[in-house]
Amino acid sequence: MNEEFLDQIYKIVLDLFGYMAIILVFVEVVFAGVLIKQVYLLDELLGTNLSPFLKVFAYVFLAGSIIIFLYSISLFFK
Amino acid sequence: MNIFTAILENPKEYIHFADREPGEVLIFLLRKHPITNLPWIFTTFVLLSLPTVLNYILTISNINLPQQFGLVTNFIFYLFAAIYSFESFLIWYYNVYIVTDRRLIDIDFYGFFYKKVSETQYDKIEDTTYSQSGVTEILFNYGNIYIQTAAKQNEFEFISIPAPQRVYDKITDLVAQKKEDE
Repeated sequence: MNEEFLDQIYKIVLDLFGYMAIILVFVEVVFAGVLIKQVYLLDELLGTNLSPFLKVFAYVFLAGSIIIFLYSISLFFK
Repeated sequence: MNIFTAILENPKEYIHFADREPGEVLIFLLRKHPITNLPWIFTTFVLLSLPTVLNYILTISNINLPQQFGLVTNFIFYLFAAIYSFESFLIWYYNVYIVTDRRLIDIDFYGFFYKKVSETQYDKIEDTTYSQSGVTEILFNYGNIYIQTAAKQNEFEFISIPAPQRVYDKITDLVAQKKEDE
């Protein structure tokens, strides 16, 4: 009885954790999108030799966030 | 030209900035002294090492989370560390103070959603002061310049810029020259 109850608590905690992880990664995807827009705006404000690298980094970051987001969803709904 | 430099004096290469007028000569391009980046660099290292520490604590506490969840948690931490460090770098890199032969431009960029560009002409400048205080500012030769203008706008602040005395001298020279021309 006690073990069953603990098992249920454990599952609920994991479910909550999964929801939280998905929300957090989604927030990161949004941040990454904002970051790309920001890098372009800043480039207009002050163009430098570093701008292309910053743009590449921002896109890599967005791609990474999306991959982790999809992976989290696939884990949760498996 | 070093693209990470915090003080660029009379650059030979053309540097583009918003609303640069034709023939406008760039005298100084300033950022905060690189030493001011230490706090966020340290925080990034702490953020990067947190997953390892947490994994170790979970292991010695004999708590076994499903492996995939551990993986996702680690990635979330690393992504947040990446976004934090990248944003901090952008804040340093794009927070610039520009001194040209015609005006002063202060580009403030703080975080994701705040950006402010202000400028003033030399004939509107009433008072200029600079200050250096504390061990690090004296040791690494950086400080603040405060420029009071006649307009109703707030005073211009060049915060934690390298060689403040040299920049201050140049600005006061330009103000004096402008007043002589008038």
